[in-house]
Amino acid sequence: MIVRIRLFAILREQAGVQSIDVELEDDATVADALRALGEEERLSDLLARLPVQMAVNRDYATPATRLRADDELALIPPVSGGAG
Amino acid sequence: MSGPVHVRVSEEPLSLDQLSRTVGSPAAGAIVLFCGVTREVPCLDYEAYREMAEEKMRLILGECSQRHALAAAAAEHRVGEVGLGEPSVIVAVSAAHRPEAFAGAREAIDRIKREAPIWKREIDAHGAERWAEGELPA
Repeated sequence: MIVRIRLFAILREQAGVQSIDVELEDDATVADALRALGEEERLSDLLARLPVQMAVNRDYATPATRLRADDELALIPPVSGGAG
Repeated sequence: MSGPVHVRVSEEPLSLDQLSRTVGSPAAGAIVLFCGVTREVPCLDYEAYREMAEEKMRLILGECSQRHALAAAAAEHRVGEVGLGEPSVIVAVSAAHRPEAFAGAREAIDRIKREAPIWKREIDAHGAERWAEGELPA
């Protein structure tokens, strides 16, 4: 299956695109998606040093979370919202 | 018990007055307002995964509301450029008395900063940009 992963902040800027499509096995997990992203040329350097979290359907997921083709996926770098 | 909840992530300037009015209630004797503002740099530039940030903020305010018996809770976060001294995030909660209101507002802003998918870039006086370091959300 092909899944689309949305990118934000430093990841979006580094990749130069809003999202990346990766091809995964049908029974793939979050860990598989992260591995595939780590092999993307545009992100590999950054992902080697930046911890990230995957969001599946607008909730933080664990590496074992299983993915479906129609899931809403996003790669979340360390958050820094707010002030004060 | 859990009172009404209001959240918004938008490019519009934030108003504590307006937010305060959304949490007013005949059952509430205390309203606590929090305002986080840009400091030290001329400008902060915020980006959000808006749909998820609003969902998270709604969930957080609902849980705070229940845990602290709030009459109502509201929070708004701004995206885009926020100048020195201007608010980027505001929180308003109401409760019967001030101890619950302070505790509820404290938990709400702490969790929004930790869990909502929102990022900021600092823009210094020379126009140089740098993504702020953050924490990985739980």
